[in-house]
Amino acid sequence: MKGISSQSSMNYSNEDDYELQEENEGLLRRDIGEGDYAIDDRAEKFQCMSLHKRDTTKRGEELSFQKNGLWRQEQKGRVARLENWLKVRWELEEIIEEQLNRFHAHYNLDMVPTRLKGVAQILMPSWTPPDELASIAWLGDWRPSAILELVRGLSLSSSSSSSASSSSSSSNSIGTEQLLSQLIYEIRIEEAILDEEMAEIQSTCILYLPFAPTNIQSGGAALACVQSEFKKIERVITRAQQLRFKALELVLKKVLSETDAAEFLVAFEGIQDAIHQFATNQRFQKGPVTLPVKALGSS
Amino acid sequence: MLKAVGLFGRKKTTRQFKDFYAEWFNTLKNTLLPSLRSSMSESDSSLTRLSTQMEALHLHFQSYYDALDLAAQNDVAQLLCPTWRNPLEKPFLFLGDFHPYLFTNLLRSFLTQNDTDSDNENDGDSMVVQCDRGDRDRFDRPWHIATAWRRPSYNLMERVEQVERGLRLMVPALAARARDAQVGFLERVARNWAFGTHKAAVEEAMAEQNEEMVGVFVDANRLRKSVLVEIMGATSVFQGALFLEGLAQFLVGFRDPELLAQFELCKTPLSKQSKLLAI
Repeated sequence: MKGISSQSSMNYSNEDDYELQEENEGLLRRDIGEGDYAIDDRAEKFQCMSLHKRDTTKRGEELSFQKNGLWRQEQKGRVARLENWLKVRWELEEIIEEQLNRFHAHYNLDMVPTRLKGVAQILMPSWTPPDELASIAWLGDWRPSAILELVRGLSLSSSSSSSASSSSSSSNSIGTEQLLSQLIYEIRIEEAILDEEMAEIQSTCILYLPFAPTNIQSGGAALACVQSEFKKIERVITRAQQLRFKALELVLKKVLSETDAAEFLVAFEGIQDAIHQFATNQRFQKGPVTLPVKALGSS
Repeated sequence: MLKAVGLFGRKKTTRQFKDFYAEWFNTLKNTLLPSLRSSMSESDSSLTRLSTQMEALHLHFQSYYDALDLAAQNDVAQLLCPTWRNPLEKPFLFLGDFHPYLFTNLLRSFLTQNDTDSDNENDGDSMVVQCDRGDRDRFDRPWHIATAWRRPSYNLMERVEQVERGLRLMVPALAARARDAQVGFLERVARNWAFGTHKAAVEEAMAEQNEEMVGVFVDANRLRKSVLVEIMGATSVFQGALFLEGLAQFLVGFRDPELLAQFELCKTPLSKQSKLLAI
């Protein structure tokens, strides 16, 4: 009775462990001298322990010896599971890293205008429907601080719905929240600096473009004036793209743990897709923008 | 018969903004700007005629902003990234049109240009001033037009500074409102994301954000309109005429076919440096 109760008090967590237990008991009852019996790794290991037992233990201690063996077995099973989990985590780390590299290449290499006519395409991309641009874009793509705001919004919603997986993130949630607020504040300042620079270009172009009243130019000189203005804009775009990447890098490396980062990436992609789909649909449904015909009389 | 009327009526109630803009632009380029110019170059042109032409051009600009406001009720998003503007114009648009600072900068450019002009001025008694800025239309201008910006009134300088101070407060506030509307949008989407109602979350949030953006856009237009009104109010007829001529010519310049062709074909890389820095 005692043996049964002590066995049942061993907290086996799944059926695998029960099977293991039965297997081990069987082995114990067998004569240990029959070494050839052991085939798999587990049995072999147990055999070694049993041999060891014969040398050191005395009668009556068989139960604790048995318990020790079972415990070791169980530990081994658990460690193997941990190992698997670590492997998955390393893979996750790699995937996130890969994703980050892709974002880097996208923002800092692919989405930087190289030619004059590419500038407008980056700022108001034809592949992004207007409703999508209006709702998330700053200088042609995701507003960097909005990426961080999204992290805040998503983590708030996960802690309020108290999902089981977010126990670690909710214990850190106050720290994360503070970090996020600080980063949003900093990124917003950088956005405002770029806004100022863009405003400067947009408002002084009336002095420098070749058809500005005080700077009439023609031919090659005219194009040179345009190029000079567009180079200024290109520099702003380049820094805006770097800021976008920085925001993503901060989210994925500094703010969130790997699993939360992975969850965020999945949600981020899903949200982008939902916005894109909806905006595309809107564009199609609404058609081109119109104004009431009576307004024309006033022109 | 009734059906025909109904069809006719429905067809005529709205008009594509893109068509309106094309017509508006052509009126500016082919009618209003040439008329203003001709009344500016005739030395015997009456002040009333010039004043009428100038007012017509001013109203033309105001009517464009009114049309933008009306169209914003239909779809503000399309007005914020107008496809009817060409790739040379688009990068210079702030909330769908010229940056409000641009108007005061244009005014200042006349004032500072006048400073440099007056340094080498020695033709005070000549009735015609030769301009050497390469602008064919403005080679010969009556003296009162060519010297309109000399010695600007104290009142004008004061008003310009006042307008600029106002803009420095209001422009960043507009940008902040646009940003906050986006933040609000994402907050709403994120809040509902966990509940799996993705499409509904986006739809509802976008409707609210849209409404806020209409407000921001209409206020940006109000700012542009009021800066124009302020400038027209503070300048003399000749100054105002030169200012509006400059503004209209600037707008027309963006569509100069020769420059646009060069722009489209230009293969010179914008910056090699930025590519290297990014790596």
